[in-house]
Amino acid sequence: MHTGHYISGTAHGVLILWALFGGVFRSDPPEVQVSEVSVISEAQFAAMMQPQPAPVLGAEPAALPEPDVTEPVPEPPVEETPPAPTPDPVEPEAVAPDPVPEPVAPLPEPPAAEDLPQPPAPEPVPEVEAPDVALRPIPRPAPRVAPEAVPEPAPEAEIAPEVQETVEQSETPDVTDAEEQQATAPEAAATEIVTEAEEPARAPTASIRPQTRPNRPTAPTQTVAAPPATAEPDPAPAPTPAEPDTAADATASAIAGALEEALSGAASGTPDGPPLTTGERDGFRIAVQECWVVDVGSQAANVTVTVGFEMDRSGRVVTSSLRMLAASGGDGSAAETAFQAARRAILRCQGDGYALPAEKFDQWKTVEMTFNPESMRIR
Amino acid sequence: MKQIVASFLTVLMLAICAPLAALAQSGPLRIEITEGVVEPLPYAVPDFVAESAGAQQLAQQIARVVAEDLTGTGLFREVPREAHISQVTSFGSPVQFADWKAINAQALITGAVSEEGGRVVVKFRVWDVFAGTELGQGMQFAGTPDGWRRMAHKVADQVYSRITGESGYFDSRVVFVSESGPKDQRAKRLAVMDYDGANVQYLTGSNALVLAPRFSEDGQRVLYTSYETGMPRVHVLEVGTVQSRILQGQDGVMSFAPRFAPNGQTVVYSLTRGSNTDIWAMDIGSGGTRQLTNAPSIETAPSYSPDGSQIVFESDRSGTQQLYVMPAGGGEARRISFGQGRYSTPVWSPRGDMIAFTKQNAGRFHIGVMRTDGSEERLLTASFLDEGPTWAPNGRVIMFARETQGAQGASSLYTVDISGRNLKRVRTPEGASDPSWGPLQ
Amino acid sequence: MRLSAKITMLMAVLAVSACTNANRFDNDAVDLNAATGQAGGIVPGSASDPSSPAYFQQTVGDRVLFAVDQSTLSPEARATLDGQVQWLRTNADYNAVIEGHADEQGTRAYNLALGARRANAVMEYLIAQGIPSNRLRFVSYGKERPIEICSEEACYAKNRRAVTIISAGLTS
Repeated sequence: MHTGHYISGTAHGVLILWALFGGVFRSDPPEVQVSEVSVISEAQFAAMMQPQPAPVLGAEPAALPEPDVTEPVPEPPVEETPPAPTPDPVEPEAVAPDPVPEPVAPLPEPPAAEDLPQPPAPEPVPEVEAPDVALRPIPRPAPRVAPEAVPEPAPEAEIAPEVQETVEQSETPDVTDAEEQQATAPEAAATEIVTEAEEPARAPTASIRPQTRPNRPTAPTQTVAAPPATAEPDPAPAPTPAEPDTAADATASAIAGALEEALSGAASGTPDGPPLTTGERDGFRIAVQECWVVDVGSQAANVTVTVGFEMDRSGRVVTSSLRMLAASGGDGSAAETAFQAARRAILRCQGDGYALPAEKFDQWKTVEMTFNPESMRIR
Repeated sequence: MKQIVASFLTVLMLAICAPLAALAQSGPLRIEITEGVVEPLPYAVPDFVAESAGAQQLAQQIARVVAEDLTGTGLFREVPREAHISQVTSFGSPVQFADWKAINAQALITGAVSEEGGRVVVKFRVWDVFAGTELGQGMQFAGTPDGWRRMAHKVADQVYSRITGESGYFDSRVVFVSESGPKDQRAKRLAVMDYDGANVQYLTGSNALVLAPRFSEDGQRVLYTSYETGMPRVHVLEVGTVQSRILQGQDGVMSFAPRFAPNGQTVVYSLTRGSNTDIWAMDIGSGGTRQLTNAPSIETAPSYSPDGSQIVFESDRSGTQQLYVMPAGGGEARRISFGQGRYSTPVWSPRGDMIAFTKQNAGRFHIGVMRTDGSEERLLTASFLDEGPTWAPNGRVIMFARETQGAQGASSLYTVDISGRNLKRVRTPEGASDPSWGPLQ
Repeated sequence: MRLSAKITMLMAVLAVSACTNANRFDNDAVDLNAATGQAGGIVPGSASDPSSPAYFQQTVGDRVLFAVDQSTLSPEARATLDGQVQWLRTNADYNAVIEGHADEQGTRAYNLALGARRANAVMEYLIAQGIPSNRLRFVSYGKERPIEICSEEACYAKNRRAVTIISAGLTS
């Protein structure tokens, strides 16, 4: 009799539940990410990244209109009395001319010394149009360990400035200095720390994705949805990469993304716009992790820290909003150091703003980013 | 009926969940970052500003030593001065952060030096370029012109600790054995130097064989083994006066491998009687001794935990050299090393969480570290002969001696970060071995 | 005892002067210093003077060798030590210091202790053979005093040693 109602009610209920929980699961980022990171192989990851390199690289925050240049808090010229530990004469070395033979009264700890008044806050400097390209230091073959192995750049590639320019012009008409980083051959990197004690065989010489990197098109990603509608007019609109399947995501994530969009749309239908796709989230995540420098030997490398911040519509971080929300795994000073490293990563890699879809601004205007060094810790 | 209940429940759940879902929808974007990069942090240190007529050279030299210290850690990379866009001409003028951002310097160190009447004043500031703020506060050090290197080290220590959150180790000294002559006629004498190999001073002559000096916790005294009497005996030397004396009350045939307890009052060492070598402790004031181990095997190379409650040492009681931990007063020892090969010369880290050691395996020598329970063993180096690790005062770096192979073999000192990176040789005027790193001054 | 020692001495002197073969009566002893000098006659104190430390060192054999990380005496070592015992009995006004050594393959402190083990093994053997303990003492140099400097087993083998150094008697 009411069978129709039952069927209808149940079906609707199930549908709505599904939609809802789809949404709930979606908003549980750690799970999504964990599986993503652990399941994917390096080769797959490389393949996935191939057409979508930009998030990794749109990193360099060169001389761009700095969002955060804004206001280095104009502290009043407070007269600090900087402690001045005189190199203690505590040690009256008869040994020989000790560096500090000054036998002044042993000042155990810094006596107040002259004031060093806080210099006035620098005014925001008018932007020079990318002069820094030529001035950018040539990357030294400094030791670097990164998630992906990068081979030692070819000698020519190391002469950063010139090569860089050509690359930029030919490949990224939308240029901007933010792109230079990738053109200058990425610094050689290993995927793990290799000590002298380890077998040479374990050295990550064989990398799957070497040469292609500097050659890859460097257009910003996220072209899937829409070009980043940044507030300021770009010198040239970012061209979508030549490939039609700009869908940077691997199929899997594309599907997942589409699914999510569909689901969330069904669920809320709010004007917030659809949630970020997996690819968009990954782009953001990867952009930041490229700048997250972990000092693996430090106490701070035991600390997982969560940083909260606000973003403006152009994808830039509101510097003053950066704050530590949580930290675990170390004492206060280690946590502070971990926070500072996370903060530097977020600020340094934003460049001209993170490439996030403007129409989904409400989805990313507030961010909570957790930096978990567990997998990087020295073992 | 059941179906009705089921659908009712469904609706109820919907009613409850819907607001939650909406909430989740508008909440913050949560991202977890689990991969980062391990690379040196770029910084810039322009020449310090000379604020008095004669200080030009000092201002340059000090900035250079600061840079050597920081870059030498492997944790920082200096942006070459040729790349700098702005010049710092006055210590008080505002920092052009954009210029430093443009060259990707994340930290900037500015400073000034003045010299007047034999008194040098060095002041400096550290800037977080990307945040556009100062890291910590301006600070200054004063000293004599002779002490300029120490002042530079102090500046670098400050910069290091402000950026890493951990204390530095640049203004510290190392006591070691300076070696000269061929392998079969090697002359050895005690020497002390700055951590970077500068300012070497000799503490003994080379007429008597000397071995393994060890700093006291305060860096004022050095224990060492000398053959001055014809037999190896533990001596103590006052660094300030360079006066040394044999420790009275040493029983047995020979005594060696001494080390101070953190309290500076107790000395622990090896004593050989007959064929047996055990570990003893002595009160340095009264000369009273106490036997801590009693086994027919070789027990040697004792080292206290920083809290003074435990001693790690090596013993071949199992047949090969292995590491053991026992209470500082003696008693049952617990073996902590179980890997392949032989383990020796354990040294407890100043942080208390790790033990550095020498390991011999398959014809190679390694310097390694492990947790104090023996877990998480990691080898940091490998060579023909590495031995005798000593910790930097902040527990971050290990110095050790490396001897090269063959008839021309010679020993020199190396440092390595506890991550196993940044292996570097320390420049010394002669061959060098048996380093012992003193405290931050 | 005394008598037999004197006779031995006399015979040795005669033999040496007769044929100048210093090794002739010492076939038991393992001479590790193969390059024993041939002396033309008895120069007191020289290697051809059987009562001299030089003779002890070169003809009797002043050292014994050890296997890696071992301090047990091999049959060859015992033979050498028997010669040393003979000599020390004969030359009762000499004392001896036994120096223990190790090769470079080991850490410093352990090698000191290992050298002590070796030296002590020799000393105990001499004492067991009747040499008064007050004429003997030992010291270890660990790896500090190699005689061979190459980094190969051929050198290491010679460095893993205990050397008996004869000195003029100070004790009675």
